[in-house]
Amino acid sequence: MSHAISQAVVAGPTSAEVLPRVQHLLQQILSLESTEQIQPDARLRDDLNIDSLGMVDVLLGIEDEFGIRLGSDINLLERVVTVGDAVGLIVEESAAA
Amino acid sequence: MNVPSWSDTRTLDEFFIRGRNMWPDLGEIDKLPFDRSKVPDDVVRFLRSTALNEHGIVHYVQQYFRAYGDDYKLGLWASMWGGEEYLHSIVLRTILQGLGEEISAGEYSGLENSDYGESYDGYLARKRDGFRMDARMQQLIYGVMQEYAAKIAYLSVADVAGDPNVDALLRRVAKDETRHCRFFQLCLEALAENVTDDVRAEIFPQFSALFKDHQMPQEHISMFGEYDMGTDLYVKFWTPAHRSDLIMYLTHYFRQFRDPAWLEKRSAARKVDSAARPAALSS
Repeated sequence: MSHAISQAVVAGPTSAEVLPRVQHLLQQILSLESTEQIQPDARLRDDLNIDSLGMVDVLLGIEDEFGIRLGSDINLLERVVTVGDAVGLIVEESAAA
Repeated sequence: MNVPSWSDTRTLDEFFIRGRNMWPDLGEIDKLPFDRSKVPDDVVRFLRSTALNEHGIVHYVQQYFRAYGDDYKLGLWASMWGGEEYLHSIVLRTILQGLGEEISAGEYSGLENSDYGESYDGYLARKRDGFRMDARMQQLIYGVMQEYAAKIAYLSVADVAGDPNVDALLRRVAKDETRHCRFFQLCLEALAENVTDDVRAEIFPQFSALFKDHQMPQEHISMFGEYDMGTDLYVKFWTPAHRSDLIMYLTHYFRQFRDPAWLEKRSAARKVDSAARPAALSS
């Protein structure tokens, strides 16, 4: 195995890999027929109407789906405003795990 | 069957002693200087509301006894908890007096004569609809949530209190609420060891049910609404960071009960702990 491949494995998933999984996750949580409106710039609270209880489901879903544990000190509501923010956080935390 | 799985009262004693040690200067608080000009009006309203809320322990302790039934050790806990919350009322009223504020007879009367029990019992019964767990377990789940929310409430107001003595005292009350939260956790975990798998599996869903349109105790005492001192007054101080803290902490805590192997893991951990005693209370 080359050094580059080894690093890629360690680095975790890319945004392009994470996005469809996040879209599928949110589709399930929101009981939507498609992922059409779950675009990277969609705002979780304002566009997708995810309230505090919904954020519990999102948090659990992300941790279960990606096998990561988000630190309790993460300011989730400020850091994750859009779907793209969630993807970015997952990529970052996966790489750090 | 008593909920706490420990066979003596050491944990209760430890909790109680830590509580006493938190306030060695209780009788000196009225000598502290408080500057009303530094404290925003909404903070004063919060202090007024929480001073009354903590004075409302008779309603809340009665509720605990109704939920705990004949569980003697939880009865001990309820008794101790009531005293601690009343201590908070003393602290908060002392601050208010130092700021030149008084609680009116009408506010006291509205609090003491409320029909809290019927309203609150009905609320919890509705939340338990479709669940097999008893009122005792639900009350412990609610207790964990409520005490953590109380911690957030006090910290969020301390952040904007203005006066350094008000700030410091609110942070100390918040620390007390964290300790209360930990004790509810110990009791919930002890109970979870002694129920069937299907009832244990209801803990997270019940947390979700309570979190949805969560109502704080004061929602069930009309006086708070009449004097515009209800839950809205509390949560208005919560920044996204405070809300995130609440969501992250409670979700991470309650998610453990979704694990089908929870009991086995807990038993294994206990074998490591030769003292077979609940984890130390966090301060």
